[in-house]
Amino acid sequence: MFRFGLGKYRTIIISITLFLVFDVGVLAMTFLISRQIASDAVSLNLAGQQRTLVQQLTKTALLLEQDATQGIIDSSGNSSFSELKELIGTADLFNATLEAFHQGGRMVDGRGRVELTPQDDIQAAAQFKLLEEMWVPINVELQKIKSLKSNAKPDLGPLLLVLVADNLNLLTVSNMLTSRMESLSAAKATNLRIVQIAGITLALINFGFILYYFLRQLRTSDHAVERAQKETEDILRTTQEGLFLLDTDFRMGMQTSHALSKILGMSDLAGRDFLALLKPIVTPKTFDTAKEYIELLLRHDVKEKLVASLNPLDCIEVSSPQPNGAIESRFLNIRFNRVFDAGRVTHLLVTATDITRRVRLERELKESERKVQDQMGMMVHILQADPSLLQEFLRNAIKGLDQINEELRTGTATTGMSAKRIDMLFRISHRLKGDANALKLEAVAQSLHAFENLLDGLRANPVLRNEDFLPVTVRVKGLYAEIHAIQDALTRVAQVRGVVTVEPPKPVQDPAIAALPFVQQWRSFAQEIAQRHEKEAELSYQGLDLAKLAQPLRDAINSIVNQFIRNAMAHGVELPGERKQRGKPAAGRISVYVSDAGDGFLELSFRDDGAGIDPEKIRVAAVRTGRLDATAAKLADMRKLISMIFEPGVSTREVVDEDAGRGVGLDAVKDMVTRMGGRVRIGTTVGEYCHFRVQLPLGAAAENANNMTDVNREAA
Amino acid sequence: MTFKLMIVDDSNIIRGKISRTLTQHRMEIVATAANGEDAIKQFSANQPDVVTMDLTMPRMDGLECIRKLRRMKPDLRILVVSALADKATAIQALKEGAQGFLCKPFSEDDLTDAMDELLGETHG
Amino acid sequence: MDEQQLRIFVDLVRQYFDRETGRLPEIGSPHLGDATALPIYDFTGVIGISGERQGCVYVTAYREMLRALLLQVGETDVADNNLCDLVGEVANTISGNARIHFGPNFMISVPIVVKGTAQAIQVPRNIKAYIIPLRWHKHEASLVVSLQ
Repeated sequence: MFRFGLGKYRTIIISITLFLVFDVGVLAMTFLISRQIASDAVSLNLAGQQRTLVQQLTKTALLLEQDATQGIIDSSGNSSFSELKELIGTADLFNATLEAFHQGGRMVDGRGRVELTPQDDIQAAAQFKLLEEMWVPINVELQKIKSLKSNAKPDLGPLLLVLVADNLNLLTVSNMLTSRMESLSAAKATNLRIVQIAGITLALINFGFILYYFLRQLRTSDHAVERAQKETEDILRTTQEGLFLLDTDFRMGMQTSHALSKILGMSDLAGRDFLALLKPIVTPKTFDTAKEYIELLLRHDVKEKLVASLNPLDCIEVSSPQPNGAIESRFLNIRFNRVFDAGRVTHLLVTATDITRRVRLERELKESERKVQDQMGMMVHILQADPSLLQEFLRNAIKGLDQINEELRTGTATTGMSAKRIDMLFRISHRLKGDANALKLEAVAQSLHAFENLLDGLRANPVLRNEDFLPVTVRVKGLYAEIHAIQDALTRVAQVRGVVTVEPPKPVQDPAIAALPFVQQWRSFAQEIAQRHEKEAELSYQGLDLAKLAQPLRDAINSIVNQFIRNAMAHGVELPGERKQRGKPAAGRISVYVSDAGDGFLELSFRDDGAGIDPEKIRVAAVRTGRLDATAAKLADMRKLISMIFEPGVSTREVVDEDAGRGVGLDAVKDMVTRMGGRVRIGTTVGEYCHFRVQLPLGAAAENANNMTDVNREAA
Repeated sequence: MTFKLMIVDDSNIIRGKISRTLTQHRMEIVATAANGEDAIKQFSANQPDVVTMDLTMPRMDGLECIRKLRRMKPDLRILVVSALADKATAIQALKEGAQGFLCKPFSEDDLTDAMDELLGETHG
Repeated sequence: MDEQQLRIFVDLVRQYFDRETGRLPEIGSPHLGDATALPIYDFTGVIGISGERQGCVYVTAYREMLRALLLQVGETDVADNNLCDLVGEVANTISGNARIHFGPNFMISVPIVVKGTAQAIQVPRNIKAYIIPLRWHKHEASLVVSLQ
């Protein structure tokens, strides 16, 4: 991030360098010029000094002359001597300064030693030269005086002559030189200002450029940053996923996507400690694993793709309580991707997604698959079982379970469940188990068996507490569920049947067969009984012509069918109004079919579409007629009850009339068929039909049939 | 370039499967071991570049084995091949110095993809 | 479930009474009830359950029991507010402890308190619920567990 080439910053570096160069230039110039000005000041000073020296020289010479004239100089010559000495000193100083001006050199002035440079200004040089030339004759005279022995009396005449002659000129030239040098120095000061102003102006222009360039750069990059920021914001605001960066201290970045708060169900997430945030929403084990997993990605040399399957947060359930006490739970997927900088992991990009819908769908799918499989297994048994018996079983089972539950419910806290009650539960279960086994509902039978084992275990327990019945309750609930599942499956089968069944075609009635005398007789017999009970009947026949059978067999079948007709019209077939309510045609339909089964047996099928046999009614009847005591009746299973309709004295009709109620008829049929070596089977569905199937051996004895005739007559 | 591979797994079937799959995938199987102890012995003798490592094995489990192997050869590439019964253990194995994890059961493609990823130069 | 989970709930209720009053409640005979015919007495503390199984667990009690309980623990203010608090506290204790016992796929909510029978408690339909009657000092209450 902080690596950059010179390229981007070249302009600015050049600008700043220039700025510095200008500044340093101005500084250097200032230094140089001010030094010159300083040296000029010395020159000026010395030039001024020369002027004064000339004046002094002239004055001293005049004084000496005056002394000489007045004879003041005595042998000691002190005063004159000192004046002379001053004269020579002044002259020497003038000479030396002149020399210095001429050749450059060191001079001592009032402030110490100074450097003098030879004058390069032409005008000044010319004036200087003039000064020099004017000085030459004076200097000659001065040198003469100087060269005199100290005691000798000097002749100042010639010197005074030249001094007086040139004094004014010397003064004028000195003045000119001084003012020239003054003006030169002033010019240099002006130059210095110009240089300074120019330098500073340049530097300012440069600074302006830098400022302009910088600001423009800044603005451009600000724009770029702003645009990038806007894009990032747009992304973070719009994405459906919860996004944020996680640093190596498990701290969340300052920028998070808007969706994150909603997904995690928390706000103010920026900068939070991710682990602290995670802790309350997952189990301790998941939390530990998650921490380890994140550390793994941050600090260990692993392949991101090859460890993704270990992410413990790929499907976590978070829940938030609702006001009604329910919990709304959602499923989250939190993924981690490494963010590299210079080959090092600096952050993890964390993506949180709400996968509730997906998880729910997956679960539902799994559940429905399981259910389908369960139901398929169940279906196989259901389809094999006799529908009426199955329905009966289910009703009994629910009743039995209700009974068990009632026993459990009424077991009080103080008395607890007695052994007697357990026995009761056991009996109910055992009866249901028998029925389930008969119907080959093995799963149910097994569950009931397990239930019985459980009860056995309790019975063995000398002291029973109510809570020992917890598993019993649990089992009962399971049994309820199993029975309901079968009911569901049955309903489905019924639905499927309802869909595929079309209106059954009217039985094809062969006119020739319909005209057979025995068929005519059955039909009129059915009509006759129907009228008596204010019912309607329609009988159809298919199969063999009974006339072709041996007499005894023909008679037997005739008797049996008559008995069945009587039973059907008296018990099974409902009144026309009731039939209409149930969606049946007003007239009760009776179908009779006789065929040679080909195995030495004749098969008679007799089916009516009446109300079927209601085992509850038989139960009641059995008790009423004293065939069973109340308990036995309660415990009697389907098979037992239905078989009782063939027993003498059991009739479901409370009121005895000529067609029914005495409980004779079907028992006679059973009796005869048994004696003839045949058998009877019944199929019935309450509210739908009753179907008798009788098998008789073709070589049946005639005498049995005769007996039946008697019965027939008696019953009729 | 061919890599020298050692397979460490207590299941004969898994060893066979890995061996068959990776022999056709620029790998030379230099050793197989059914437990951690054996793996350490085999390692010294055969010096493999890559190791596939089961975690639950008799006589020295995968975790300890990885620790020892890494000490013997710090740049060894290790792929943990294990069932996902316990994510925490698998993560522990990666912290001990394995670079990748492949979940059992796996397909042949899963295995070759994982190997490519393990031996690739890229990060992540 | 169910037996083990059921036992946990029963034990938690029992522990609560034992700890608070030093007297264990008698546990009645557990049985089943349809969603439409569950016992709901004067005050009910409900815990929502989600995750692997959905439904609720609640403790429902008559005013008299809660009043007696309050007095037993030394609280003389037996106004409805306090009774509500108490039944909430029972549910809270069960909820808090149940969290420890149940696996990660079993989410347990913070309890809510329902007063009277007017407010319906949301229990799963078509599911028979376990009803465990409780008796403490001759007062009756029930623990109801209804889970899909």
